[in-house]
Amino acid sequence: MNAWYSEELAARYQNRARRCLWFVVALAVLGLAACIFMCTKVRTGNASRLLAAVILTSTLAGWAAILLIGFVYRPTKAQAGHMLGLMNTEAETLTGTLALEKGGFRIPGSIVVRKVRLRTEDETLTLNLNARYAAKLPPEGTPVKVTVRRKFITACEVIQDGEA
Amino acid sequence: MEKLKRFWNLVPALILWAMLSIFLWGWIFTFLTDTAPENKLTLFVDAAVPDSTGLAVRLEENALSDEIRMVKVHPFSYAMLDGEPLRRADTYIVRVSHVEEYWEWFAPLPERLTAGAAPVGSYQQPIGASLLLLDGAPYGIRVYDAATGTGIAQAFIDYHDPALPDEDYYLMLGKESLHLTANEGGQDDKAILLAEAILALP
Repeated sequence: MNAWYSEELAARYQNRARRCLWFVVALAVLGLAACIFMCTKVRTGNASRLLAAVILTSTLAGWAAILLIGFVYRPTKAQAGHMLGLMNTEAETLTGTLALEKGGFRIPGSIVVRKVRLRTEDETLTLNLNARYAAKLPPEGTPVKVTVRRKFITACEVIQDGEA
Repeated sequence: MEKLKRFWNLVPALILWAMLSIFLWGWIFTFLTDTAPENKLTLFVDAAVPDSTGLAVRLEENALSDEIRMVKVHPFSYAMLDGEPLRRADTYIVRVSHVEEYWEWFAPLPERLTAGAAPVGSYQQPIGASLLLLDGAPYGIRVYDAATGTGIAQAFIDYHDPALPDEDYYLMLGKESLHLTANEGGQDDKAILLAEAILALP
């Protein structure tokens, strides 16, 4: 079974988020220190040039921090939180064929979710899938065995011929 | 697509940060590049000053001391919103036709500036002919002669206003200046030092 969710992976995400946060803090401190250093060098003759340099430094450092928080820290922290939240819940194993539905939605402050239909022998279930793993799903119609926690697919394995 | 959407969500924060950065550092630099009137000398020019920073740096070479930390040069238009800094300036360069309008701001020139042949840089001329007298007292030294087109600091000051006829310009001292002991509350005579530095400009 290809387990997509594990406590080790969640811990890795947490560490990555922590490292990213430290990097952002270091960037902010470095940017501020550079600006303060330039302020100490202000003279009548270079004031306008230094003001432009300080604004540029401060703006670029701030933008880098905002982009890092938006593109690395928040998504990584959301993944870790989501995984840890599911790891403590009861798991259920189901078999059938999967079909990924179009579109998706973001849980506010958390991950992007895609809807998946699982057709078993008895019924058709609508499950949730972390959008990060959408590309890892086997082609539609392939028989699979999935682990489901709170309606989220957390592991998936293709059933080989004869195994079912 | 998801990343593009996420980027668009961050755009307001990026714009807000850039604006905050400009305003915050602009505000901080206003403090860094200014000081109390006791510690600075000011020159207000009744003409365009395309290179006010260059002129201030040149004047600082001769006018800075322990008490004076900077020289500020502004055109009259700088005081458009608040006339107080203009009224309390240490020195002025004023168009002759505007002297009457502002004459209450000017102090009579001390003898140190009017006596003999004061150093006037490349703008050499008999000092007697270049003085502006008001009620018999010398109030201004001519620094730009419209008839010949000669004057001081023409690399920094543009004496030609396309909307007005060419006129003489005079260097005056401020009546409210803290740097003229002849004035009420005057603490030193650094305004005279600044005037001499202005007159020494090529």
